[in-house]
Amino acid sequence: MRGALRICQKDVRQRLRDRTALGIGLVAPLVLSALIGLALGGIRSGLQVRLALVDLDQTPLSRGLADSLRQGWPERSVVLEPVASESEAAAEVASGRLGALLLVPAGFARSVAAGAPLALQVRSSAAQPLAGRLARALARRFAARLGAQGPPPALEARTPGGRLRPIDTYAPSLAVMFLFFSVLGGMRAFQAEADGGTLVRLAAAPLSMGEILAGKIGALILLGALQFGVLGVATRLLFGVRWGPLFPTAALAATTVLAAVGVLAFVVSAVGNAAGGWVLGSAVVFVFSLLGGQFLPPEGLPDFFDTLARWTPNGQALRGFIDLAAAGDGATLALIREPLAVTGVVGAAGIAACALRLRRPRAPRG
Amino acid sequence: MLIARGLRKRFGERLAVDDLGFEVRRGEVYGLLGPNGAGKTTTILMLCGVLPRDGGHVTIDGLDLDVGAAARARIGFAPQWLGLYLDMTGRENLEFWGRMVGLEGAGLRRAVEDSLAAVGLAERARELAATYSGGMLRRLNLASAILHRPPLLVLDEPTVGVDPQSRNAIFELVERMRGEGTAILYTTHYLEEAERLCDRIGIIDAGRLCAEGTRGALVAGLGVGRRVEVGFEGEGAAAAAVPAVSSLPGVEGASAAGRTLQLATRDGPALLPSLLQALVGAGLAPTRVEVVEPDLQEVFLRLTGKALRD
Repeated sequence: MRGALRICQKDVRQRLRDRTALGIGLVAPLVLSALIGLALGGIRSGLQVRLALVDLDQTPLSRGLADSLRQGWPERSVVLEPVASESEAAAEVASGRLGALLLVPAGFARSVAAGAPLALQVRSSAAQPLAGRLARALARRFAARLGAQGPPPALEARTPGGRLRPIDTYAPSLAVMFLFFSVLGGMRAFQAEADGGTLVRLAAAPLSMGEILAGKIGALILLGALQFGVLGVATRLLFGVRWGPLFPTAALAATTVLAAVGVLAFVVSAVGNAAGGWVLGSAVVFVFSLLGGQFLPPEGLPDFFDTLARWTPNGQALRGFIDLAAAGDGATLALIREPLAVTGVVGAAGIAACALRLRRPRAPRG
Repeated sequence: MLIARGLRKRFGERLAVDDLGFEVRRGEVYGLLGPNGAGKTTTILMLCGVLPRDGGHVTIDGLDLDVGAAARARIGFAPQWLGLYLDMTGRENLEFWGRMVGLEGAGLRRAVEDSLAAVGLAERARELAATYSGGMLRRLNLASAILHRPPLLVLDEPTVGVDPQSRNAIFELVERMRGEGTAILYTTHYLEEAERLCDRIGIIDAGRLCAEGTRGALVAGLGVGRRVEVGFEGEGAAAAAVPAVSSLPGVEGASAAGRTLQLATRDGPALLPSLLQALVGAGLAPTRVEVVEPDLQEVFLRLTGKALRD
């Protein structure tokens, strides 16, 4: 695989020289994260989120959930208000006094013991999308723990990440979106090689096509991972962004990069030319970003958009990163099983399709 | 060095290459000539192992092209399109292509310096390829193909769009490599290049090899004789001369093209006395008489019915 390494090395060096690519990949998301963070509540101060907690189960398990949430929030950045009934809580949310409601349904503990836990319910206010997102993340974290440990779960009182601020959601959001754009730039350069004939020439060298494609795709993955890593560290150091625990965050970052490479490798290679691939690829990134909640959080939109976001790899990635940030140190891979699976599978499938398409490079016309 | 037998390639319904076979020997430049769409590039891509064949067999230096990468390591390929990275310097391009054929370390550095010197680009090696002229890019393209001193060099239209200085540099390099024993497969649209460089020529049309041999053998094989051209000052004189000379002994055909009378003949010089006598007798005064030697263009035209640049 020495040939693959050499090709990868050359491609990485070429991309790192490209100032436009660096601007799109690093500078733009950092600047936008800071601007949006400042505009929506600051990057230093926390945001206060008020949630209604409706416990219709009234069992030790449900009270344990409430207690663990209550104990976990520092500096009163999240306020949990016990509300007796669902209708009362819904009215509070509708009025805007509370941001979202988290409901533990009656029979919840029994269903957990039976091995088929009922879903925790979340309702959010369109006016406070962040509160809804936080409530959903908490519900998912709790559900993941139930699934991971088997019923009945041992609840831990720990910090669940109450300092989630706008920048904590917009930093990963922009990182994911600009990752897709950067990968698109790399894929365009790759397709331009196919169009220009250097790929054919590589195929004439004493290398296997597998080595060549591994080098090319490997460079895209490496650059994507590098970009995400730099953005993660930079936003953490500059703005104190919460990214969740290192291992699951790194795992999700890896599959997100894979997804970006897979989607765009598939799109650009299917178009078959660099210029057309760039246009269609940009459109795909734009639409995915829109559906995935990168521009507008789906919680602020009708429920249909939340479903759509789950169908996009970038939406899944964003959801995973926010869950990790919201869940704090206690987050494990189990919490982000779905985002990991979706982004990983999409990435692998896209790369396989691209490899199939480019395994026989065509000589340029003329 | 290169032996190709029974090459066949089909794209859908179209048979692009049909039972094509030829050999290129050590120290020989073999010219592959054919009009656009004749199958030259398809043939070259099959010979370089890029395009899978539907039939046929290729060996390079005794190695089967289909077994491993050893045969491909013996090829230096300079495609007609520029297989270069314009955002890298000339030296970086050569270093990259050198690594692709397995060169590393001191061997790579030496090969890069030698190749840069061979094509006269040592002075500009640190500049981005994007700043090179078309001729310099062609030379760099060629330099990247000879880095590992391949025993077989495949040059696909290596002088397209280059200035005379670069063309001469490329000719000299090709001749030098031939002298060192390299087998060279050379395609071109320029017949004067083929006549100057190629020891043997294969003419390909519609995917088939129509004829093959040295320039002299091709001309003799087709029985193409010399041509006599007679120029006149006035309009219509050439046309008026056609009946007067058509029946002369040794004239195989006569036609007028503008102010020029063209005569096909086996022996031009022997025809001249009777030709001039017949023209004077018809009251026609020629301003120019020229015996034209047969060339590859005529051979090509007769074999394919097309000019080389069609």
